[in-house]
Amino acid sequence: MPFHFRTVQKPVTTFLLTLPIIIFTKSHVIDVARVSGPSMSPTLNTPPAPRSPYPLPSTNSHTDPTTVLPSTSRDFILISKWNTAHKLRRGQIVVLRSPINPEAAVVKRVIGLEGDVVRVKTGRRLGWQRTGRGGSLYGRALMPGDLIVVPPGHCWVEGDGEISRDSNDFGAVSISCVQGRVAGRLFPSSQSGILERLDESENMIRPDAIVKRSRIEMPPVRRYVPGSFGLW
Amino acid sequence: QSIFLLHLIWDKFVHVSATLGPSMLPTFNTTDDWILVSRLHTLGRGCKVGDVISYTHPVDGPGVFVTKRIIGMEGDFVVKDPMDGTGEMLQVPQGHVWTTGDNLPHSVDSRQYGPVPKALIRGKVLARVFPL
Repeated sequence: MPFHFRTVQKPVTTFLLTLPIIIFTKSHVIDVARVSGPSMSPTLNTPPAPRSPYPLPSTNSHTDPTTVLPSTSRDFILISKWNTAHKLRRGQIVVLRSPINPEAAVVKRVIGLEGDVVRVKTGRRLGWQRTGRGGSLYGRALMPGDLIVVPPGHCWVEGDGEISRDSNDFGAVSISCVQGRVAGRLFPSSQSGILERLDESENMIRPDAIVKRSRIEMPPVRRYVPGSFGLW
Repeated sequence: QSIFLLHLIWDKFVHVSATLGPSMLPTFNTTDDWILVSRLHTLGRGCKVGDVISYTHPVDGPGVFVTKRIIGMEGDFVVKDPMDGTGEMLQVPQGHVWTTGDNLPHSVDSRQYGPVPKALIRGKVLARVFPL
């Protein structure tokens, strides 16, 4: 019936027309997400106060769903996606696509930028059995205490928590994998206001991580120059 | 609003892109070839050995795109560089692919910068749209 169709049509078409705007904003400007896993405790996802001597199990691992990890709260974060890859700084908390599982996004802290010499964390609790080469550019598995030079166009990311699958397992990550920067925590929030800012200073980096800093403070923006074929 | 709709189609479904460089001769010309990239195959979904894919350059950053052919998927054993005579092989790590260009002497690819994470893959090249 034409009358009913017209009363339904307007909100539906308005919704369909705003959908692309929402999708664009969500993937390129700003996004909200829920963080699972203990790899950023206690910065994000603080573990609950122990009520029993046995840790409560939960299965949230981005590569192996059968892994049992300690349970934590699941925080909501605000992610800023606009132009973040060019403005990475050491100490920032970023959201990146995992190089070992492209469908999963992980939240970690940037420890080193290209040219830095980082020391692989000693005494990690969660190991990961890799097949063949670990990381993109290394010829062997990363051993605790190794000194690694972060290659050009890559960064070294680590989780704050004890149990974390990060660059200590899969090596330096290409900066193009970084999707966005965590602007702050939305819920649960201990401060007044909607957004709780997180500590992103370099004080949060473990002291033995960066052995030598490169003179490059931010990843340079490389642009292709037409005509410079050579090796392309 | 139409701009956002176009962006949606461009980002999620298919888009057309230009090629540049001699690394994929004779499959693609050095310049002025336009290819159709399927964005349904982002992140390496549905891509297999032999597919030509478009991915973000792992070193040169988020703005630069590369078109190469997949030689090995994760877990496969590939020869690091068939042209250097050693025959040294490596196993492609989990979540990565090994790519080379069709024009091996004039191609910068996985032989130089290592396996490419599937997270960087933007899509699969379906066809060349111009010149036909």
